[in-house]
Amino acid sequence: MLNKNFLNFSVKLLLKEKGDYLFSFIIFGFIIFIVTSVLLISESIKRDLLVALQNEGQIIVKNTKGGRYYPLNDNHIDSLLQVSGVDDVIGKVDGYYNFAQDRRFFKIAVDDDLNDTSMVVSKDIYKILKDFKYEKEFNFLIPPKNKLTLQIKDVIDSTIISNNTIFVNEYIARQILQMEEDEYSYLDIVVPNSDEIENIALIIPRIFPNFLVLPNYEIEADYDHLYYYKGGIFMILYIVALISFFILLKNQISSVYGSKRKEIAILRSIGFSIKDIISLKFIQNFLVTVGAYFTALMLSYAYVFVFNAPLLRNIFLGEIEKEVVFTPIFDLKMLVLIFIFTVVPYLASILIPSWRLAIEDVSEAMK
Amino acid sequence: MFCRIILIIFLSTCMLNAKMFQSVDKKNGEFIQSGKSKYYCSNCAMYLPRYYKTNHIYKNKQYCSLHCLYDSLKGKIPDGDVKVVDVKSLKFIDAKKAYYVVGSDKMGTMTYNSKYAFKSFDDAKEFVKLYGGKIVNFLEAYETTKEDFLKDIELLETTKEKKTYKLGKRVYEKKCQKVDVTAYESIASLKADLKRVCKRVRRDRDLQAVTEYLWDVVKKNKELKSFGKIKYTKKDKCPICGMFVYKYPKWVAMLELGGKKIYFDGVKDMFKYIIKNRDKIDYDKVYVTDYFSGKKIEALFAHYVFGSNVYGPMGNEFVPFYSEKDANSFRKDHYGIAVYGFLQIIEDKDIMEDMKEL
Repeated sequence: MLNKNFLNFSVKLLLKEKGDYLFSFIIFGFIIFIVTSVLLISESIKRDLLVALQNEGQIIVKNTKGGRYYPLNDNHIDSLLQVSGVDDVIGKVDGYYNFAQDRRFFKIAVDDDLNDTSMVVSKDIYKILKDFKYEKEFNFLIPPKNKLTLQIKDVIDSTIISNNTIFVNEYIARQILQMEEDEYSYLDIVVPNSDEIENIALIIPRIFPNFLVLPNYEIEADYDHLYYYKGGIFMILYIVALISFFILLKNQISSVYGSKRKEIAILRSIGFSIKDIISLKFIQNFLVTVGAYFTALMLSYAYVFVFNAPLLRNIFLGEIEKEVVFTPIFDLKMLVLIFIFTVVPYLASILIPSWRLAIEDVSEAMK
Repeated sequence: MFCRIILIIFLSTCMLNAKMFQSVDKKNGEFIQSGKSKYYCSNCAMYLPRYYKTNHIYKNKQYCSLHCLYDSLKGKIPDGDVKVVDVKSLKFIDAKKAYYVVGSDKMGTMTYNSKYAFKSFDDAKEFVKLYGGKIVNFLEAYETTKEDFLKDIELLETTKEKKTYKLGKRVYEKKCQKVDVTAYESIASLKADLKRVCKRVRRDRDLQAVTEYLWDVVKKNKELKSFGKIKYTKKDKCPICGMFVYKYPKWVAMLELGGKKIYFDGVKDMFKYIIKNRDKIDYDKVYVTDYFSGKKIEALFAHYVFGSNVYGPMGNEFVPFYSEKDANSFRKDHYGIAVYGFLQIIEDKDIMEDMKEL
């Protein structure tokens, strides 16, 4: 009986009660919208962090003394190169510049394609510099009395990585950070065989007990933990979403047992089979839920990646980083998971009571 | 590996402070050479002010260390006047009357066993009190340099292979005008000219890397240890076990037989195949993947660790290494039983039998 007329009839019946269905559509869509937006923001931040991590070596080491960080030098590089399994050790320069006027630290990172007179800043930093009338150039004050003036060559979008960063070449970075030619902030250790990373991460502290050794799998785990969507604030959000979802389901079930009870009985009495009634209900609710699901997905993509998630972003980034943009991601696994946990229970909550009513005696239902 | 770690610990105990102990500002040092290569070691072209406290002078040539002096004299004891920097005053003094402190905690130059000289015995004693070591005269220090020489060369070669040549090549191609290396008679003059043509290179370490790369690899055609990776397709299967090799890139082995390339998913299967077809195979055309670097190496010269706790796709494996040092350190770290050579495994039937029994 699943033909064009049947479909027409289903849709007409749906439109007849559009008030009821619109309510479900809006509530259901809103729940999906909130959950998807939160997941998109957290996944996007995580992806950015992991992409940045992929550009580093397999192990990062930092020098510490009494818990404070100290620079490393070429001798450290030469010693670490002697460890079997290490293919290369790359000295990296980074650090923070104290912008005392605004009581704020800017991160200084290296981009060797820049010349000695220019720098690239993020939108967030540019906004701050503009407030202090540094629109085209900026003066770095290098104690005791030196001044280094750099032109703002470019302003880039702020991501979670670059929002507080000024890019300069290595030579200039060393001047700003007052580091000697053979000093490094941290070392990237390249270990080609991933099975050996753990072993080498254990060997290094035996050579340099004061080193902080961070294998990439540990940093990855830290990032995962930071935006762990099964715990903390995410859990509260899910519980709220779930409770609203269940209230919605309860509403649907009671409506099936209430006003819809007679409708099903009438349909049965005019010759609809049980299968037809289930198909009818399935078509109606499938249109509502899937429609709501895709609308919510589109809205949340636009909300997060076009409008940069106003309000929700503050949960993740705080008030300060206003210009951060989220890098668009597409995670099919996540979307399928949301579909399974929302659309499927919703449909089940309609179809099971409908089926139970359909198999009841028609005269009983009409009473 | 344990001895190696002890050695590296020894090398690095003095490195808590970021700046190198040997370095001084060039204004505070004495540099006797003239011309463009005034500030470069005659033997290795390293920047002399950076290693000033271990500088030596012999026959109007300035060297960054006793190691370089020994190297340039090919081990002969210098017959004339030798001068060395007094660590206390930073002035050159007669090396033959100086007091050398050997083996202190302070990092040496070109050696794992540091050697610093003092004019007065009391200064040397005070240094020993602070940083340890033993006070000796010039000849004894020279003798120690001789004893350390091979080990020092090995450490320096490792650094060159792993870092210097790669860095040098990259910097040269990106930031330097091209030079004709054959036109230079000394490494120091090459470096002096490179300073002129590599204007965007500011760090001495980068310039030194370019110099060593051009001198050793381009001029002297030094052969580098690796030649890329073994290339295979998704269709290649191991003839012994039938497994696809692309799934196990860390273990791929390959041999060429009659113009055809045969791939294996591990060294063990490769040896089984070779033992079966011993007469047909040219051992020079057999390649394995170095476990640490993932690079293609010649199987004939590789070292194989037997009985370790690292398993390949077919269980227990012979784990291949280019360097014997790496093989030994891996054996110790991963509880290996022995390190074998290629021919040893093929000729000694017991080894394959032992492998079956593991």
